[in-house]
Amino acid sequence: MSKLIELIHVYKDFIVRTGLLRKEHRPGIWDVNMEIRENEIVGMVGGSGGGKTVIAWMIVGLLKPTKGSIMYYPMGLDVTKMSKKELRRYRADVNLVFQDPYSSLDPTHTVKWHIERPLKLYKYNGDIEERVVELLKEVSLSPPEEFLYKYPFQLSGGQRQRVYLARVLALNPKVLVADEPVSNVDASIRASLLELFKRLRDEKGISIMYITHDIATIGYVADRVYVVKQGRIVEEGDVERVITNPQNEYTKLLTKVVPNPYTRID
Amino acid sequence: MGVSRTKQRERRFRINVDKQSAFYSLLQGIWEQRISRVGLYLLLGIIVFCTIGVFYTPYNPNQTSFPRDLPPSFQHLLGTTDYGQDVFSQLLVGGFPVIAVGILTGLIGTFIAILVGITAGLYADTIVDRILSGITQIFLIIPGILIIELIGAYLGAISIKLGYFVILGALSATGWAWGARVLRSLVLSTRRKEYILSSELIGESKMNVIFQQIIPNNLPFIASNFFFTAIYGIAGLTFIYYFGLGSLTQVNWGTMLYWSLGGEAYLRGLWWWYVPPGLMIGLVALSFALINRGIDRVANPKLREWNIKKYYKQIKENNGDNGDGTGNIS
Repeated sequence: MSKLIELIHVYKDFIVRTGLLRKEHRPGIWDVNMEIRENEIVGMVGGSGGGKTVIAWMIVGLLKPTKGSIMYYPMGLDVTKMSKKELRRYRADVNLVFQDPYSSLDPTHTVKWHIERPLKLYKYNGDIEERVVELLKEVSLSPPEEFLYKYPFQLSGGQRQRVYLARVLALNPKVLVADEPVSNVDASIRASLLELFKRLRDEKGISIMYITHDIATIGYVADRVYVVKQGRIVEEGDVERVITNPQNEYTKLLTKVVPNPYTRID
Repeated sequence: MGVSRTKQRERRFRINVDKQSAFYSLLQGIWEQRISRVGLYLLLGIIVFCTIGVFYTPYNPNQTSFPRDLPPSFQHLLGTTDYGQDVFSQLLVGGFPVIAVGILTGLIGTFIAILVGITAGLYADTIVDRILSGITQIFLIIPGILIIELIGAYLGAISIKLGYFVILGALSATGWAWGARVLRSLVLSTRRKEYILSSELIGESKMNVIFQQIIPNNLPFIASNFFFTAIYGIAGLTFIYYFGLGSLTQVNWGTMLYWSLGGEAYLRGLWWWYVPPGLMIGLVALSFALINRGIDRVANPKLREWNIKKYYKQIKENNGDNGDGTGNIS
């Protein structure tokens, strides 16, 4: 299992205005080392405000780290120092799935538009319409023909998330960074979406970084896991090891608070 | 396979008559609202009325040889003025410049507003935004019509009268600022939306994002801004002529009001002289306001009413066409 992406000593500061002229640097991310390997699902778990989304945005190049480098090995380049053209090529390989499916699809365009844009931008040779239908089938939206001309507001949350996945999959990515992809989706659909992630890994060999605040779904789907607390990685390792035998206090807390349907709070 | 390919291409070509575009759905939405459809009919009627006036009038509107102060009759549909002119002919001729200047003011003003507003919104927190916002603020404070009056009075003193093009330029130069200001704040919120970020991640160019996503998503505002600016243009033009700052030999609804004021039509009860132009200006403004109301209802796609029957028909048509195309794959 070779590495695809590696974060090496990444720091990120945020500048906060505390007065009219005074500015203060506040550490957001502190010395993060992380790697995404080929053909695996990496989990990243942590509380809200812990910097999970910041890490995800830094990986796809939407934010720049203050210090440190993010290596992408298939291109042999540092993401933080990429030119615009290289970044564009990089984003065809590494892309982001957003948290909120209600705002990640443009309300003025149809499902078909969303999926055919990346195909057109990267000059897909072949019949675009066939490919769109194929992609819709891949994310198990059936029958695909019925969804082609629908607008986002005619779809449910889970369907939207699938459409968005199809849009990203149209790029033929190697790595998907999924930023809480199931947190806004209702519980019954959650499992099927996670199943879809697993299938993508097994059938297409896509590595997925799965970010969540819910350690239960991590155990369900991920191979390795990073536990993030306040911008630092407090624990990392194999999923089974981390969940059954957590070393860090924070991880212990996280595993303890997973809701169990058979217990009651008195 | 070759046959189906060409068929598909034909179909794609046919559908590309913008059925999915925001512009089409805005027009369709306006058309579906009864209120705005009334407004559209009204506007269309007025435009036809004014266009007829360009080519045909019953009498020469500048002719002053008729008997004075005639009330409406079959010979003179709206009577004659104190100067012996036919009011109906004047009304026919005088509409076109008003409507044209109004609509052109709307177009130019909205265009400048889009240009400035979107640039400032996209490059917020940079020097570009600060300069553009500063200019917008300055133009926002300038009271447009009063400035034009000032210029007109000054030019009038050296016996130069304002022409239509000068007024058009002045009105659109003073009418864009409000739209630009609002559009900037709209773009400011739109550009942080995740679907814009997603397009950026997928590799869309900035121009594509502007034309395919930012403008369509703010289209209802842009359209209503157009109508507001057009109302401003019409009101401004008639205002300027009403105060006699333009060339008074030109016949339009503004000068008609000016001459009726000079002829003291209000005091002498010559209602057929001043009511028709005032009513026409009011009707134009009313039609714009009605259309604006329709746009308001369309503005939020969640509130839009969907015609289920039409929707199913559309699906059926698509599937029927797909018979040998995409339908085959499944």
